[in-house]
Formats: sequence, C-alpha cells, structure tokens
Amino acid sequence: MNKKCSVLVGIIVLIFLLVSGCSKPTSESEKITITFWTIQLKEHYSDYMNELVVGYETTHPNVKIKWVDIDYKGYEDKLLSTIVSKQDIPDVVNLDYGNGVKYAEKNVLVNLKNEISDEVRNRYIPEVWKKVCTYKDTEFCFPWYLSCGVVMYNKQIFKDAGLDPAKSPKDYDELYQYCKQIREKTGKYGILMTITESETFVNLLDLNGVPIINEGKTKALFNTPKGYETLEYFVKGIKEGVFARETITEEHRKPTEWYMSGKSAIFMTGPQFLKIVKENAPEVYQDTGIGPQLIWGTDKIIVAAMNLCIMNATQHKKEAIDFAAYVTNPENQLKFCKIVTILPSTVESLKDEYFVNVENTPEGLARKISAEQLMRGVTVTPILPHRDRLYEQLNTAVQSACLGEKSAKEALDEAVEKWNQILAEK
Amino acid sequence: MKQLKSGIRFWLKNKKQRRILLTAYFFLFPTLLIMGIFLFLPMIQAFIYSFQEYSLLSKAKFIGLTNYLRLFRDNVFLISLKNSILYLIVVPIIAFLSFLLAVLVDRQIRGINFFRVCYYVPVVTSMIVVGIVWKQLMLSDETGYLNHILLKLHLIKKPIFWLTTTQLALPSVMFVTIWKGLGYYMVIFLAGLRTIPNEVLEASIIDGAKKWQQVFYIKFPLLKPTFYLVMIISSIAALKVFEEIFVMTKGNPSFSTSTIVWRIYRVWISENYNMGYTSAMGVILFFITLAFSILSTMYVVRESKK
Repeated sequence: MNKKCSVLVGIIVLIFLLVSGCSKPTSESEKITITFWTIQLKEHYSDYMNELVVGYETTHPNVKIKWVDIDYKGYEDKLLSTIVSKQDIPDVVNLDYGNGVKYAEKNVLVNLKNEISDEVRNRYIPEVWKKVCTYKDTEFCFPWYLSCGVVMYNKQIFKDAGLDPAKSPKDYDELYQYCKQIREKTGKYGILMTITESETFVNLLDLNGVPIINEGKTKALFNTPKGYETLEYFVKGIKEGVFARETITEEHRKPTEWYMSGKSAIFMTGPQFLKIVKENAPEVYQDTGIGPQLIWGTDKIIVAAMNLCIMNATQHKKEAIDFAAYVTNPENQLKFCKIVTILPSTVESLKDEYFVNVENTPEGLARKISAEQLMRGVTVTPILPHRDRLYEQLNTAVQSACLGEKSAKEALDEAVEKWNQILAEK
Repeated sequence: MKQLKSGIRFWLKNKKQRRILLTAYFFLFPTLLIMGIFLFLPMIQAFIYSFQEYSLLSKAKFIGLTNYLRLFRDNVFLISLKNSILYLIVVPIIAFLSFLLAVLVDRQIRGINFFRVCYYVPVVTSMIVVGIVWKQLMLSDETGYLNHILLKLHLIKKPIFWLTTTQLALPSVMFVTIWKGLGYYMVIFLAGLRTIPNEVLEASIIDGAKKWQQVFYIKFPLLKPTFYLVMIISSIAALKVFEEIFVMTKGNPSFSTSTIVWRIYRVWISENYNMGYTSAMGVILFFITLAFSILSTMYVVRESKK
C-alpha cells in the first residue's frame, strides 16, 4: 500500500511539475518586445532608467523592454534611417517638441486621441497637453519632462560691476542696462545670446508680443513697429559693444562656455545646465545667483518639452502606449526630477513639496523658480510650416541688420517677403 | 574608337596576351563592382532624384525640371555657388607657397627633417581640430592670439572681427585651408624636385645662376607637370570645401561663407531631408567639378605636348 501510495504521489508530483512547466506564464520567445529610444540619458541616468524598465517588466511579465539610448547628435539620422528602411523601427521614441511636430506632420506617429482614457490624459498639466501634445486635431505624444529657463548670473562679476548681487534683471530693458554696466566696469560681456540659432529670434519676437504668422499660416506678420524695435534692440547692442558679435554667429554651446569661463556674467537657460556648471566650473557654480526668466513686452514664459511618441509602425500599439504612460506617470516623473533639475509634466508631481521647500543652493532655487513659472503658463515656439527654411531666412535678415548691412526695417520687410514666398509653396 | 578596334584585333590574334588581359580584368572586377555599388549607383540615383520631389519621409514624385528651376531662383544657392568659385583663389596661392616651401626644405642640412615634419603636421591633424584651434585661439574676436599680437605691435587699434564680418569671414577660412594644405602639396613638390637632374642644376651654377634664378628659371619650369597636378587636386578640393565651414562659421554671417557643399548639407537638414532639391544641387556641383577637371586636363595635355 505504502509502495503504491508512494508511486501515486510520485506520479501526481510528476504530472504537476510537467503541467506547471507547460503553463509557465510566458516563455522568453512569447514575450512582446517594446523598443524604447531615449536621447542621451545613459551616461548620467542609467540607474533610474534601468529601474524604470525593471519596474514595468515586473508588473507586465509578458513584455520585455529593450531600452536603447542614443547620442543627441546622431538621434534624428538614426530614427530617420529606421523609418526609411522600415527595419528596427522603435515602438516608443523620445522626441523634443519641434521634432515631434515634424513627424506628426508626416503621419508617422500614433494619434493618441482615441487610444487613451481621459483619466490618463488628465494626469498631465492641461496647458502642456494642449500646447505641447496637440497638433491640428491629433494628440501625438505624452509629455515627459519639461524645462523652463531661468536666469543664472555670476554674483562676483555683478559685484565687480557695482550691481546688486542679490538682484537679477527682470526684463530685457533691465538686461540691457546691466550688460552695459558690466561691459563698462569689467570689460566682460553681460550675456551671450545666440539669437540667430534656429527658433531663438522667433521666440524673442513672440515674447515681445510681435505676431509671427496669421491664423491660416499663409502670411508672415512680424514686420511691425514692435518687430523692428525687437531687432533694433540687438542692432544697437552690437553696435555699442554691449553685446558680442558672436551673438549672431554662435550656437547654444558657446554661452555655456562663456559663463563657465567667467567671460560673461549672465546665462539664460534651463536649470538642468546647472549640473554642467557645477561639474566643470565649481567656483562659478558657488557664485551663481538665480533669477526668473526674463520677460519682454508680454509675460510669456517659454517652456521646452521632451516627449514620448509612439511610432505608427509599432506591432504592439497597446503595450507601447501603456509603457509610455507608465514612464510619464506622476510617480516616475517625480523620481526623475529628484535626480536632475527638470520639471514634471504631471499636475500631481508639480504640486509636490519637493518644488516648494527647496535647499538654498543654485539648483534648489532654480527648481523652485522654474516650477513657479510653469504654474503661471506655458508658451512654446509657434508651429510653422517649413519651419527651418523660415528660421533661416529670418536669422539671415537679423544678421544683415546686426552687421549694419541693412536697417532693421529693411531686413524684416525682406524676411517677411521671403517667408510669404515660402508659405505660398504647397 | 580607334584604340578599341586595335584592342579587339589584338584580343583575337594573341592567345597568350588574351590570358594576361583576362587576368587583369579579373583583378579589376572586384574594385569596379564595389565602386559601382557605392559610387556610380548612388550617382545615378542622385541624378534621378534631382527630377523628383522626394523627402525621405514622403513618396517620390516626378516633377521634371522644377528643382533645377528653383536653383536659379534660390539666392542662397547662387551666393553659395559664387563663394565656391571664389574659394578657387586658394588654388594658385597654395600651389605657389607649397612650391616655395618644398624648395626651402629640399636641402641636406642638419635637422631638415624636423622642419619637414613640422610643415606636414597640419596635414595629418583632423580638420575639426584645426578648425577649432583657429576659431577659438587664433581668430577669436577679442581673445584671439592674432588680434592680440596685432594690437601689441600697434598695427591695429581695435580687434579685427575675422569670422564675424561678411568681408573677412571667407578669406579667413581660406587662410586656414591654405595653412592646413601646404604640407600636403609640399610633399608632392618635393617628389617633383627630386626628379630634376643634378646635371641641369650644376650646369646652371657653372653658368653663374644664383639660387633664386635656379628656383624660378630652372626648377619652376621643370616642375610644370607637378604644378598642374597640384592645381587640379586642390581645385577639386576647393570646390568641395565643407569641413572648414562646418567647424568655423556654419555659413555665417549672412551666408558669406556658405559654399555649395555646405548649402547641400543645410538644405538637407532644414527641408526635412529633401533628396530632390539637394540632389539637383549635387548634380550641378558634379558638372562644375567635372568641367573644371576636363578643362584642366586638356590644358595639361596641350602644354605637355609643346
């Protein structure tokens, strides 16, 4: 009996093991793989990203996340080559606002409008969702992290120039006075702005309340007295030596270098750049004061956004959307914000204590100020068709005026004419 | 045609030679195949694209000569074309200077190899590095060494804006091209100088020729074929200049340093990877370079027959 019983138990155990082996939740080969591309995060944030991936895979055993991090410079080319070759197209991609719009125009991104619930949609700051994630009647991305520029300034240079080191300039008129005084007293430049770099001058016109383009996007509108005045501001600054001539030839890297080397006193950028200053120029970081973003004719505040988009070519749309929603959920965004000085795009995380009670360091102050700015409103670069061609024409006009080859009026009138020609194209 | 006929006749007559010929073609084939796939095929494709409206994110559509017509209305392209042709100014300067440099280092004195290496170092240095060094250290408006030296010597009262004025930006970039390329062409001239028979130089000494007379009346005429070679190579390089512009000016200010290749790159980026229009620009550049090379070669052949 005992023997029979043992055999029976043995058989039952064997059957159980076989059955349990067969009904293992999913084998590796049955798993869905979601490829997730990010822009240059591996170097500093791989722990956070890996934790994020493992967290999702644990709660979704049927999904495997393949995280691929790509350098900013090669990102667009690489993405484009996968789209063109129709091979290895990622499922979820990290795109900035401008590029997101570009791909949305070409219909290569999933329209989330009918794919997500209002509950998910309402997690995000409504104004961010409206201005950053919506293009025409499509919703093309989940907002991820945001950056809202602040003014960083070198308190020592302010002191040397006889300026109050506790006070940063509030608007562009004050900035001019500050820069003039710094130049006269110290021989250094107040600020290096790269006004002819892609959309910068369009943003400046927008900040100063100059209309850029008509509703139908068929006519340029910026050749107004206010527009001329905006350009004249820089023409005068360069002519008087208040602003460096590099203002019209350099790109964003240069202001960082100038600020870190003490060649300029003020640096306007996203708070996340403080980390670069802290690592490369600790003395300058110690002397850095923080002020709110400069305003001009309006109280608009420019916000830069990084988003997650789902590629139309994905074979696993549902899972890809779910994963993107997970990465951008309030909890995960808050964790990310605690590692680097960025802002979350979700209402709940922005209300967290972390953005209110801050430590008295440049990074802490920048976090608080930029979060407060975000609460006040969101302005993003106006969406323009053929945007790079339009920027190029405008930026060249700005250069001509600043070099004294044309008056501000002539330059902007010509730019408007060229814009209208481009906008008239199909 | 005549050569082809004689070639076929030769082929049919001689069995041993036929085998040699086949072997030669056998060895040529792999290179030809690789060149066909990676050079000639893309060239043909680019030619086809130039008649199409085609961005990588949209489907190609035949539009005839529209891209070419747009080229001649595009003021920036015309400026870039003008700048590329202006860039040819570099050619005679670099040829003449590298010839002089070669003459200088073509002598047997102690430590001459050190000088040769020094002149050649810029050639092996990456253009990116050279561009950054010149832009940041030498030609920078206020902190550049060049302005610093000129100010110290009281040759100028205010810093010169080398790269930020429309009149000076292109010559400044050209200067860097010349500086970097000198060593390369110097080596070609050095090789040429070695082919001049010693007897000729000795005879000139007996005739009472001075050093400079030797350089300009003997070495210079005898090195004419080397000059042609250098001029052809450097003019093709000048027409295709890109790296210097990319690193130092990005076509700024006001397109004053925009060249054709730079323009192709810019349009490619700024017009959502517009294959059609950029290919049309590429085709124009190709024909300009081709015409230039044919004319130069014809001139060289004519001169060598004299």
